[in-house]
Amino acid sequence: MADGVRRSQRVLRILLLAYPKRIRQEHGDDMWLTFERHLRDARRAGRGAVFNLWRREIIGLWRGGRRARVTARKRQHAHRRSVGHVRSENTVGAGASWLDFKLGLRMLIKYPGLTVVGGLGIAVAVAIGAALFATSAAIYATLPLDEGDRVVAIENWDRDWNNQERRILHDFVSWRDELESVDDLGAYQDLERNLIVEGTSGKPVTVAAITASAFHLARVPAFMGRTLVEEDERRGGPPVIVIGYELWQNRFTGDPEIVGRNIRLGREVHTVVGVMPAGFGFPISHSLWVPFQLDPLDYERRDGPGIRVFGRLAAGATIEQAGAELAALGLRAATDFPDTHARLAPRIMSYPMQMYDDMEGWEFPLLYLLVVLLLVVVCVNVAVLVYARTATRRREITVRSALGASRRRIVTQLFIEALVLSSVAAGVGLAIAALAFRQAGSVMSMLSNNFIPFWIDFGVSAGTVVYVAALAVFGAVVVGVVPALQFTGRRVQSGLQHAVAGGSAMRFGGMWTAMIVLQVAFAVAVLPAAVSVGRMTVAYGFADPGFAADQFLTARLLMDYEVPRSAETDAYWNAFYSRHRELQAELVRRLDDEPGVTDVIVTLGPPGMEPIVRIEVENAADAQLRVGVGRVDIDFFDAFDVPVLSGRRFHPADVGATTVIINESLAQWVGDGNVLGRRIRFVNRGLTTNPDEVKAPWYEIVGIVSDFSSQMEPDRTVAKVYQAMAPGDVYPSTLTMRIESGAPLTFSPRLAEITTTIDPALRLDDVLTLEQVMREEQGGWRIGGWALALLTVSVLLLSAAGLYALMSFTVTQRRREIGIRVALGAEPHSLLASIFSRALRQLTLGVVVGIGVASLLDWGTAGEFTGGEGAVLLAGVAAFMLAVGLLAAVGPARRGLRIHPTEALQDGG
Amino acid sequence: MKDPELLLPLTPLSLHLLLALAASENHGYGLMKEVRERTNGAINPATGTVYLALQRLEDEGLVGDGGLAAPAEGGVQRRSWRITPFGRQVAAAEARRLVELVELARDRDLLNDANLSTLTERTHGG
Repeated sequence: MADGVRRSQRVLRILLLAYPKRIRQEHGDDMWLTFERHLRDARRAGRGAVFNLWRREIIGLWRGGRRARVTARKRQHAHRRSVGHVRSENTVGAGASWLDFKLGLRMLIKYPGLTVVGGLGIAVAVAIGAALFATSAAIYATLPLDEGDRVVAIENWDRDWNNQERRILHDFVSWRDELESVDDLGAYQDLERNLIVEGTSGKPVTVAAITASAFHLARVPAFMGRTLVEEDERRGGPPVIVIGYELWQNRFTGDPEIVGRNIRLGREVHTVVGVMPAGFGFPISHSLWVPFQLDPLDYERRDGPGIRVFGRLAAGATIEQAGAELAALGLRAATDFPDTHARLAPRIMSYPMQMYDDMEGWEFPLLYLLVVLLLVVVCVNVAVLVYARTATRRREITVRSALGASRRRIVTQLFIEALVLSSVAAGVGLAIAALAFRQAGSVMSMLSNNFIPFWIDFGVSAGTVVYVAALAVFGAVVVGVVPALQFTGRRVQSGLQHAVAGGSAMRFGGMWTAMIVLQVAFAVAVLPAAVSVGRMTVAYGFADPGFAADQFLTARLLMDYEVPRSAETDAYWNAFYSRHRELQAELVRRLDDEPGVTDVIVTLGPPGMEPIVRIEVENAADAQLRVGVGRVDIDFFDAFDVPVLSGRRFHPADVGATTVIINESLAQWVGDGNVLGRRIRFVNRGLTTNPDEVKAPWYEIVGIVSDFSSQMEPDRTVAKVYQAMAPGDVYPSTLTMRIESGAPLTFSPRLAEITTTIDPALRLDDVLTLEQVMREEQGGWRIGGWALALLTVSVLLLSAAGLYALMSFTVTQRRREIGIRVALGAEPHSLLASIFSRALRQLTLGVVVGIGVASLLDWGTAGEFTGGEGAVLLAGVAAFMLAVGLLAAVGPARRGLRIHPTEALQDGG
Repeated sequence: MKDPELLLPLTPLSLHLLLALAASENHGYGLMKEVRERTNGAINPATGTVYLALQRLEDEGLVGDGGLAAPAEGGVQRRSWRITPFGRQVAAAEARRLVELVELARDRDLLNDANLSTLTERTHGG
C-alpha cells in the first residue's frame, strides 16, 4: 500500500473514534473501502476535489459522530424514564443512577435560593466539624515514628493545684529503675539559649537537654555523625551537641564538615557530633540536642529544674498495665515522702496527649456532640426548605409511583439530590476549614515561635476528608431522606393521589405549627448572643492601638540561667538578678547612645497587655474591680506621649514607693470629684482565706493619665493602674524603644549585635514592632470574628428562609379552603385577618419561647450571654423573624383570594 | 410487523438510500455515488453519515445484509445492502406522504409553471 493511502487510512481510523464503538466495529472496514474509492476518484479529479472530500468527511464524521452519541444517550434515558428503574450497567448502587446525580445538579441551578442558603448553612456546619475533627486528630495523633502509638509520656499530677509538677528528677530516676512495662524511659529539659554562629549575632533557640534513650526510643539513626549516647551524660565529659537537618541547612548552609565543628550556645561552646535527618523534631519541635547531665543528688525532692519524662511501652505491655505499675510506685512515694508526695499522682498517657493534660476526658466527645447537634439544626432547616420544594413536586412523585417506581427508588432519588447539595456544600465547608486551619497554623506558629509539635500538621488530612464525606452523607440523610420518607408514606401517598385527582389536600397542621414555633424560637434565642459576641470579637480584632505603635521596636530581654542546686538557690538568684540589672542598665545606656533611637524604656510587658489584678478603693464599701497593672519605667508616659490629665508624672522617688498613677477610666470608677490622694490596694484572688494575707498595702493615687492602648483584648480591662519601677526590678522585662527612622525592624540586627556583645547570655525574644505585637494578639480574634459572622449570617439566613418556606407552604395548603370561603361570600379582609392571625399566633408563640430561653440563658450567665444588650438585640431579632414570617404569608394569601371557586374545588393545593 | 407510518417522515438521505436500494442491492460506495448523481450533488454525504444512516435503517428493519459483494482490491470483502419488504413499505408510505404534500401544494397553487421552472433550473441547471 502506498504511503499516502496508509496515512489516509490512519487519519480516517482516528476520525472514526468519534463514532460509537458498535458502528466502528461493524462498518469500520467497509467505511474505509468506500472512502478509499472516493479518494481515488477525487485524486483523478485534482487537488481541489481531494481537499473537498477531506473537508466533507471531517465535518460529516464530526457531526455524525456527535449525533450518534446524542441519539444513543437519549434512547437510554428514555428507556430508563419509562421503566422507572435503571439498567444495571449504569447504576451506582441501591438503585441510584448517574442521572439522579445530574438531576441533583440541575436542581441546584434551578433553585438558586435554596442552593445558596441551604448550601451555606451546611458548609458552615461542615467547616466547624472539619476544623474540630482536624484539631482532635492533631490531639489524638500518633507520633510519626516507628510504632509511634506505643510512645508514652509520664507526669506527676499535683491534685492540690490541679496541674503538672515538673520538678520530678527524683521520681524520674525511680521510674527509670523500677518500671518494667516501659522501656527506653528518658527525660528532657528545655534550655533557652542564644545560638551564636561566627559572624552573626545571637539568635534565641530552644535546646533539649535530653537522655540518650530518646534516640533509641525514636528508632531514628543520625543523618550524619552520631546521636547522643549514654557516655555523653557523664558529668564533666566533653560538651557535645547534635543538630537538626533544617538548622544545619539554614544556619550552617549544609556545611559537609559540620561534624567536629564548634558552636556557641550562650556562654558555652559545644562540639557537633551529629546531624539528625530532616523532619526529626523529638521531643516536641527541637533542632538542638545536648546531653542530659542533671544529678538528683544536687536537688531535694520537688526541687530542681522542670523536666518531662517519656518512654516506650515494653513489648506486650499495655498502657493500662503501665498505669497500674506507675500508680503503685506513686502510692509508695506518697507513703515514703508524705511532705512532698502526698498529693502527687503519677500518670501515663499517649505521648501527644501530654500537650493537653489539663483537658478533661469528656470535653472532646461533648464538642463532637455539639457539632453534630449544630449540623442537625442546620440540616433540619435545610430539610424544611427541601420539604417545601418536594411538596411542589408531588405530582411528579405520584405519577412516578403510578408508573411503578418503588418507594425506595423515589427516596433514593431525593437522597441523591440532597447528597449533591450537601456534597457541594461540604466541599465549600472543607475549603473554608482548610483556609481557617492554615490561618490558625500561622497564628499558632507565630505565637509559639515556630515551636509547633512535629507531629501536628495543619493541612487537610485524608481522615478529615473522610469525616467531611461522612458529614455530607449524614446531612443528605436528614435533608433528603427524612422529607422523602414522609412524603412517600402510605397515608400521604393516598392523600397525594387524591390531590392529583382533585380531592382533599394534605394536612400536617400540628407538625408545621411546631416547626414554625421552633424555628422562630431558635433564632430568637440564639441570634442575639451570636450578634453580640460577633460584634465584640470584630471590634477587638480590628481595634486601633491608639498611638503610633508602628514607630516602636519591642523585645523581651532574657538571660541564660541554670537551675541552681537546692543548697545554693538564694545565692544563685541574687547574683543572677543583680547581674541582669547591671547588664540591662548597660544595654539601655548603649541604646540611648545609638543615633536614631529615643525613649528606651523598660516595662514588665508591652503596653496594653498588663496582667489583671483585682483592686479595691479605701472607704468604698466592698466594691472591687479588675484592672490591668502596668509596672513601668518612670519615663513611660513621656515615651508614648500619654498626657497627664491631673496630678503629676512619676518621679524617681516613686520607684518602690506606695504611689500609683491611674487612667481616666479607672478614675471614673473610683469616684466623682477629686480622686487624687485617694488610696487603692490589690486583692489576691482567693488563694488564701486569711484576711491579712489577702490584702496588700495601700497605694496613693498621685496622677491621672488619659486611657492608653487599652482596648486591644476582651480579656483585658479598660481600667489601668501604673506603678513605677526601676530598670532591673523585673525579670524578664520588655524593652521598648522609638526608632526615629520610621522602620523599626531595620534596627533589630543592630539591637541583637549590641546585646550579644554585652554578654552572649543575654537573649532577645520576640523582636517586633509594637504594632506587630498587637496585631498578633488580634489575629486570633479576627479569625474568630469571621467564623462567628459567617455562622450568624448563615443561621439567620437559614432561619429566615426556613420560616419563609414554612409560612408560605402552610398558607398555600389553605388555598382551597380560602377559595371555597370566597365562593361562599366571605369578605376578603376577614379572610386575610384569619390567615394572618393564625400566622401571627404561631410566630408570637415562637418569639415568646425564644425570649424565654434567651432570658433564662442571660439570667444564668449574669448578662454575659447577650453582652448586656439583650433587650435591644432580642427585640430586633424578634421583629425581623415576625416580619419575615408575615411577609411569607402575604403572597400565598393573595393568591388564595384570587383563586376561582371552581379552581379551588378542583385543585388539591 | 410495525406500522410503517410510525417511522415517517424519513430524512432525505434515508429516503434516497431506500430508493437506491429499491432498484438493486448495492454497497456503500455505489449507494453514495447513486444518491449524489440522482440529486445532482445536492445530497453528497460523508462516508460516516451514510453508514450511520444505514445502521439506523438496519436497526429499524428497513434494510438488511445483502451478502458480500465482489472482493475489492486487496481481497477485502465489501459489504452490500438490500432493502427489506418492510423497507419497501416504509419507502412507499413516505412516497405517498410526499405525493399528498405535493397535491396539497398544487391545490394551494404553489406548484404553478413559474415555480416549477425555477425548481427545474435548480435541479438540472446548476
